[in-house]
Amino acid sequence: MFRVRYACVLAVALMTSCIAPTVMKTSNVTVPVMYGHVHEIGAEPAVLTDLKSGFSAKAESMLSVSVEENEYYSETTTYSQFEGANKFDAAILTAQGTCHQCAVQVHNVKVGAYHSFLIAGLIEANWVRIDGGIYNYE
Amino acid sequence: MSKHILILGALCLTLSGCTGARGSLRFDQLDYPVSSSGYLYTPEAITEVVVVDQMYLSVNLWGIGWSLIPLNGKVDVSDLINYRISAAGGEGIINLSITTDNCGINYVWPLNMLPVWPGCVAVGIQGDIVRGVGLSDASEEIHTVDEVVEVLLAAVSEHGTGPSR
Repeated sequence: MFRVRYACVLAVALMTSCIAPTVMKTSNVTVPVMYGHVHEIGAEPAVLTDLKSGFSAKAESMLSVSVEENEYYSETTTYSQFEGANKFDAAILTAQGTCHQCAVQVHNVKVGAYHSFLIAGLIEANWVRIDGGIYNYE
Repeated sequence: MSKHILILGALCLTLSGCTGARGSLRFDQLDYPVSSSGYLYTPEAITEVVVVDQMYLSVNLWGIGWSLIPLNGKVDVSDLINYRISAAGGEGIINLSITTDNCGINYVWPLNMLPVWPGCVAVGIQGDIVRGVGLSDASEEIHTVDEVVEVLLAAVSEHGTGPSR
């Protein structure tokens, strides 16, 4: 019984373990979303100081497959989650509010991915998270 | 009862595999403006930017110990981006996007049961390398307010208090 379950999970894992990558985009934001300290073409690096608000957003793609088995039935449950880039747009636009001459500065980009293969299932995920702030731009 | 839980936990750890990695991307040493929206702040005389090339970078971040211990936790991609922009003759990047995915090494069962087996996250960074239109022509025409005031004062002192009516 145990070997059958493990073999089933392994087969499912091999067949379904390629989840879509997570993509970070902010293409719907109408002001520059800046990385680094150079804020315009031809300018020298500078540090923005007039912070208005902060933002943080994370998108994750995840797939989990679990197998539950008893003497009467065997049930395989699949859960998948694919979060789109709109989460980043929404977080920035919310923090930006009505300020149309602001600078959006991304301070930190965190990334991660893992694949966990358990006895009764598997979990696979990858994610991107950004942290930043909205500054008055002069 | 607790003994059974311990045995079950040990069994789970032994018969399960978990690999991966996590970390941070740094952009602190960028020499050019980089934006993940379609816009860049530009000097006043520049009205638009044109795309001169595409950029794609691939970076892997590694970890061991079932993804708990980062090996290269913070990766500064500034130099790579600076090089791509200068090689393309660009002046900045718009539409930057970052993609994360599992590396193939994470799926190698049963080796991924071992805590020393490295895990990996594959990061793709892409964007449009752009150049400002008219930068070289316009830069000579840009005047600060002080320069304009100085020219006006010189003109006034040369011609008197102002134009006669």
